[in-house]
Amino acid sequence: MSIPGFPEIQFPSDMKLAVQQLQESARGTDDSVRQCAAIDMGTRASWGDFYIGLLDFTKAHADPTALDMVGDLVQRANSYQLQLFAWQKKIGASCALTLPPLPPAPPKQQSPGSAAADAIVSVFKWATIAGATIGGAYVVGKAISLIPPPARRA
Amino acid sequence: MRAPYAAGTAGHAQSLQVIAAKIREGSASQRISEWAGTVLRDAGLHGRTHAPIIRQQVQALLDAFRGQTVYAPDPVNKESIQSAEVTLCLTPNLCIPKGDCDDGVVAVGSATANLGITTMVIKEDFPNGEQSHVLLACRDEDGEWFTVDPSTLLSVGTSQSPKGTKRTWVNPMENAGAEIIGIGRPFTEGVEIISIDTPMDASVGVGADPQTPPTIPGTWSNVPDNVVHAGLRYAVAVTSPNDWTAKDVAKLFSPDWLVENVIDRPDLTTIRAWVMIGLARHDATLVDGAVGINAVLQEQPPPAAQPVPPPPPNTTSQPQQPPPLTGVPVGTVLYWMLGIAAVGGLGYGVYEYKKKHGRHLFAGEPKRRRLAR
Repeated sequence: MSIPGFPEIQFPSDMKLAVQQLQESARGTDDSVRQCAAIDMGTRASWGDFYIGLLDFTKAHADPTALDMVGDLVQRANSYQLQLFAWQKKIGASCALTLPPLPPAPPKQQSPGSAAADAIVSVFKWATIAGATIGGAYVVGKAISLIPPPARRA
Repeated sequence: MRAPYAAGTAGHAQSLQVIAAKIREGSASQRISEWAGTVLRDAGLHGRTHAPIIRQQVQALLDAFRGQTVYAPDPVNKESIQSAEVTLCLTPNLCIPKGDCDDGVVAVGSATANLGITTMVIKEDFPNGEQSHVLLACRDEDGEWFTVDPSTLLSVGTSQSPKGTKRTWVNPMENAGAEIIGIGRPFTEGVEIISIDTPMDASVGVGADPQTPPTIPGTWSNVPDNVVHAGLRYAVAVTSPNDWTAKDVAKLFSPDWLVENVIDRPDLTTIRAWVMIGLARHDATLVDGAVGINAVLQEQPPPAAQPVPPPPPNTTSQPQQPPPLTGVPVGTVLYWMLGIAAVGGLGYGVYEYKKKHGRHLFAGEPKRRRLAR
């Protein structure tokens, strides 16, 4: 749960898990494509192109650091996720899929206690960010104020 | 003794399919069974001593075939492949005891397969690029392959392929996974280049290298012109300088390939050979460069009749859409924090500086000093 008006912050561990799931799911889909006699070579080639792009993406972001987590990384991961799901539906229409199951999703109905705890964690994250930013600004400001003025000429 | 094959790659592939189909047909024929049994009985090969006998059996079948038939090429501009029963005159009122290498391979291969001897069809493309030939390979009790060439007078286990000949092995009995090659080693389907390592027949029986060639699961077909297409999976057999590692091979291919695996070829002892498996990023024609390209196999869809293997444990057959990631990446937040801290800190610093020193941080010397000069 996030605070209204404040977006969720995605940490490297979140991204790593998402990339791992994406990669496993893509590999499972590729195995299904390879074992499927009903898929023609043109579709195989299209799948292969997509699979190459996806694996390049997952390899490039397999172990992200905080400083790598910039820009539209999350959107790109989501885009691959959606495209992969579309491929799985397409392939599943003519062949059996063998995919790794997703980890169980968190329950939608949260208890009031856990929702409050999540909100507190979120508030704490944003408060930490705000504190670190203000603290950083304070340190920079103090450092600047310590610069000695130019010496006056006699 | 070697006849030109049908013109064109497609013609070759088609002929191989026909040869394989006719061997399958002959291997189940009762007339072929009777013929083979009679030949072995007449040769005194009763097979009751449990001593190795396969080579003698195949030699006896080969001799009998040669005694009953003559070699004759196909009519001009016509590729015909006749059944074993027709060549061996086992069908009433239909006897054509002549044929080219295809017909000989079908006749002898039908008989060896009928006897339960593991039999492969080998298509040879000679280095001059103009001629092809087809012969057989059988496997003895020790698991060693030996050639059988019905078009020649050579004994089993000897062949006279020129150096640089490309051999394509086809299992006539099944559409199975491919192995890229070991000369004189067991496998079911693949491609090899003669004389890149120990010649096949020299390694048979004595001092054979115990290493076996790598096996690649799946269904693969030879790509004779080395043309690869984007998005498809290939197995590329290469030879590299001796000091290369699998990493070097992967690095060489990486810009143009999604390299999935590089398999060492320890079965080839005198050269450094590898099989790179991967997906092509672009359409291309593979040519020799830093590594030599020995063979290119393309992954094919499995045969439609092939039973679907049971799904591995911990898998599902229903696609599930994972919940999308939402929010901002922490790196973006950090960079924003840095920016805000820098700008805010600068503003605060300017304010503090003025308070402390009574002048603006970026102000020059006081005007009155400049006037005093």
